[in-house]
Amino acid sequence: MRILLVEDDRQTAAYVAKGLTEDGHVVDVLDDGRDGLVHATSEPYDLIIVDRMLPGVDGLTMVKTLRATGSKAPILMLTSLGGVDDRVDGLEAGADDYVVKPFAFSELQARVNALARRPPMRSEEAVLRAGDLEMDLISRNVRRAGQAIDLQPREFRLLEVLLRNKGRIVTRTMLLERVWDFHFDPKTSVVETHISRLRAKVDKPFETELIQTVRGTGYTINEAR
Amino acid sequence: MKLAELTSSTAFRLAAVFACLFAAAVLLVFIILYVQTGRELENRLTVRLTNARAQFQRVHQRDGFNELAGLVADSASASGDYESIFVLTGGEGDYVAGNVQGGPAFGDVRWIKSTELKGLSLKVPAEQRYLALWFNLAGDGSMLIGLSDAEIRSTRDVVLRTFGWGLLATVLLAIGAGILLGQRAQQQIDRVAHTLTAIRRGDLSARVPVDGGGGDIDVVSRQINGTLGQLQGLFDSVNQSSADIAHDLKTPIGRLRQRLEGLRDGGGLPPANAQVIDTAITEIDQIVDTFEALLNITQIEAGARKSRFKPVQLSDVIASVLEAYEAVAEDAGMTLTGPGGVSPDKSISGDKDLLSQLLVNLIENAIRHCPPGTHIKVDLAARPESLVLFVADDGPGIPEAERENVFRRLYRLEKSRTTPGSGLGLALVKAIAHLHDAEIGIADNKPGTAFTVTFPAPSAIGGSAG
Repeated sequence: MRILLVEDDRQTAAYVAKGLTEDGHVVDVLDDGRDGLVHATSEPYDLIIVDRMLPGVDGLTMVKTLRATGSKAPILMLTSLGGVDDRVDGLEAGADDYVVKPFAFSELQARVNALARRPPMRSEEAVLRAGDLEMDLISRNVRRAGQAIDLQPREFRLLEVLLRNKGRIVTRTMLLERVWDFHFDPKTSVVETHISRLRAKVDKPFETELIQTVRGTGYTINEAR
Repeated sequence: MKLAELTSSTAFRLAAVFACLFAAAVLLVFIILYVQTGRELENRLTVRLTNARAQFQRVHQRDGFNELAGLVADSASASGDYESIFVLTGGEGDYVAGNVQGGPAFGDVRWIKSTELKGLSLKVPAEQRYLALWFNLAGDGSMLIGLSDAEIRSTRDVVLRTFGWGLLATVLLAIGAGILLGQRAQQQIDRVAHTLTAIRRGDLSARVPVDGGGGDIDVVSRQINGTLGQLQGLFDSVNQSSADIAHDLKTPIGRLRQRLEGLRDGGGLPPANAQVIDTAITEIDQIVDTFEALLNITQIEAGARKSRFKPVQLSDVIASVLEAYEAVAEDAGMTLTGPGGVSPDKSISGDKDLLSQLLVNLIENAIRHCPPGTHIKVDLAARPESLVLFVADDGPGIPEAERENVFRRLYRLEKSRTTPGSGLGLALVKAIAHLHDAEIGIADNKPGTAFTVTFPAPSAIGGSAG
């Protein structure tokens, strides 16, 4: 995947670029918003990562200008400002997701992967599958190995988010945002509690465990091998 | 504008006071005019009277008593309207000539009533008075002459009528001007009030319109605008410096975290060292958490988020938060229950994310500080003036002396120093409540603690939609 990274802090840029290159991406790094804008409009990038505070043209303006020129490339915004205002500002400007600094590389990695391979018409998929697990989004039925599983609405949503990102890591923060619409960090184990309940229903009665914990990062669902 | 509003406005009251003052001034002027005119006319009358006496005396001296009697009879018949009165009496005081038969005896010039005169025509109005005098005719008899006050009375009538109309015009003019000025001033004051309301709602760019007339309200408006400009500058600089601090502090912290992460993920470390690095990263994350929470509180207290307020149903917020936390409480060996019946589905104007966080912080506070077996109850009550959110537990409670302190930043009860937490959760709750014009309270739940968040009654927005 070809990624444009616009970040003025050299060390952060180098660190992110190194990690993403190791993941097999091709990363172009720029440290100025104006250059970023020129590159982003002239080259076909699969993903653009922009820092919010940049010399030249700031990140918000850069994203707005990009969207105004019709660019549809997914944009991930990096920001030092964690307030909800700042998140809304970023999303309203046209960014698809955001990561608050300082971040664990695994958090950025998970969000990059989620954005990059976002199926274009996600909402049209009616049945999500992983191994012998089947989730019908229309009838809202979940079956594993032919057995019906009864899920609470939030457990259903949790499983749906994991299945939509099958094979990719979904971080704890991503789950809080996407399942509960919580844009803050709870001090209790909300995610862990609900994952453990979901596992009790989806994995425990069966031979293989579909939901895997990725230590220190999040969870992932994989095809049973 | 309603009449009650108008009459309560400062300008209208001032106008009313001025109307009274004007009326009093007009009254004074007219009293002076009335008295002075009366005196002047009386003086003229006196002069005319003494002139007439001199004339009659001259005729008497020159032509004798009989000639005088003839003149008096002629004069009397000429004065058919009793404008003047004459009586000529002989030596014995007997009537000789004149248009009245006689009058009271007295000396020099004085006023006599028409009723004191004998033989006066009934056509003369009873209130008519005469300025009169007696004079002796050197042994032949005496004579009474008088001049009526008709002219004085009619002049006074004119003065009184003029005064009446003048007073009426003055009062009407003053009231009219009062209403007009009152409305104008009220409009100007309303504009100031609207601007301040907009500011309070979070629109820091609102300014009082200045019409350039240079009036005193313009001067005040300019000063208010100046103050608002400074206020906005202050808020902007708070936000800007928060942003700058966030950027300048987080960049090095971020680098530190990256180095440690790189070291850990690079591999080849003995497990003990890897664990030390893990702990260090966790501690960095805690520093960032506390820092982030402080910045968040500062930004919320700055109030700019009010401009993003939308109608929010508290019952929705409660439902979604409870959905997430019932299981968490259960795992901690506690029970968490929501409103018993159907929650009032009234909207308040607010920020859903922040209100969720407020409720989450209160619930997490209870979960973290209460022992297993505790029952946590969330409730919502609609009152005529307010909407009250309750989060109550039957845990150990908070000592009364400590209750107000728990909302202070970084404050932690002595016994909870050993449990994890930044001490900012309740400070954030308070900041969020205040942003929503809500009052936060803490009470003894006997046993346990009851937090109440009292939101002002939902106004026009939303109503009882749903």
